[in-house]
Amino acid sequence: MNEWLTGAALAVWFGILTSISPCPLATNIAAISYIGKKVEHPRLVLLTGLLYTLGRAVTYLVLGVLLVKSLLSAPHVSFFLQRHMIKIMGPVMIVVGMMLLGLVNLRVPATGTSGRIMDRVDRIGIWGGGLLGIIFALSFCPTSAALFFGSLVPLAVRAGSGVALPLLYGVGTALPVVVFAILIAMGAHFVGRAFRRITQIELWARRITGFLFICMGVYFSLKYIFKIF
Amino acid sequence: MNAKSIVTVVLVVFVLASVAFLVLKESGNEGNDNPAGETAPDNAPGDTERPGVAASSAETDHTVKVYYLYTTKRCPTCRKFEAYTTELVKADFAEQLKSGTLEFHPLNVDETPNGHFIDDYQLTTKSVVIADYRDGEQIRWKNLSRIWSLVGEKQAFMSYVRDEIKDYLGESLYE
Repeated sequence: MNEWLTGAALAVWFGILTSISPCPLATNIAAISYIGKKVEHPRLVLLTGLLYTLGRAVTYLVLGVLLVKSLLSAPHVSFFLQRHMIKIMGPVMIVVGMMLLGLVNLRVPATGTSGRIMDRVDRIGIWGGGLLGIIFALSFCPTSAALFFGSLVPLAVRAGSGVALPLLYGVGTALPVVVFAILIAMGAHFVGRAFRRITQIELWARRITGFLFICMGVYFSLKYIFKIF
Repeated sequence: MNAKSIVTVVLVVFVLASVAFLVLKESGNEGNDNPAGETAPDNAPGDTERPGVAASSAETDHTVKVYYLYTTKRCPTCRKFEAYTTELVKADFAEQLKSGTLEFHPLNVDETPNGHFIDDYQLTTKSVVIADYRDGEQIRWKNLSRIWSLVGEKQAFMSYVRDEIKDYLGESLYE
């Protein structure tokens, strides 16, 4: 039992280390800003954060199970994801940014009141947190690959825990991002309420998030697809 | 056409161009694992040799090979691995390097001739690997995976790699 608890604590710690290492900094900033953008509705921030965590945790869980049961080769999966995922991040982030800025619109059925339509858009935004978690979890950089494939997977194999430890690792990778997002959103919420400007703050939070996604998407595309830098 | 429409069109064109370029490049690279062809850094020891390629010194029957195995996509942390390992090998093992007992090879595993190292040493990311060769045959190897946790402390990193190399060189030093 003690051994398992030590393994669980290590798995969470490896996840936190992954999250605070410099290499996923750009995606973490994007995630913080995406999760925290609904400053007017703290409940939505929390839900988006939970889904982001779930997205990451489930991704590592699936990978962990496949690797621990030796259905996949760790070297091949690791190098494949490191080589290819980062390349599709650019276009994906630009599209998300365009959606956040309202440059492209999701097709929402025109039935019902505008309030219902907004609810539906909000729900898509929340589920987008989960999707973002999956995509960002798969975009391994050298440090996260070393910690997941080199430290977490061997630990899970030794402990015979292909489910719990990868899941906890995923929670660890999301923890710092979600905590920061909630703190920033709460801060903005209280400032907004104090100055009676919460709607404007939310509008700007959404615009800044969209702008950040587009800038990072362009940067990733130029660097990893066109190899300009 | 207003500014919003122009920005939208520019971004859509950029996304489509990125996807098209990516698809074309990837389909062109099928069967060739070296997309960018970044070469090993200048002045790197062993730069002119390629193992799997490089033969051990003919005069010695015991050779320890130190590989720094990286990919085309470099990062600041990975460059530190190379800088620290190069500095260590040159400073502490100059004599063994000269005699051929020790070889140092920084190699890009994204280059086709080096791709086999990923399977050979079960690599999951960039790493330093040491391999012990007797009479030209590899008898043991070790992936120094702790470099990832020690890279923040240069002395600890160098001490770890130094001890592992010394351990592999050990028998030949006292034979």
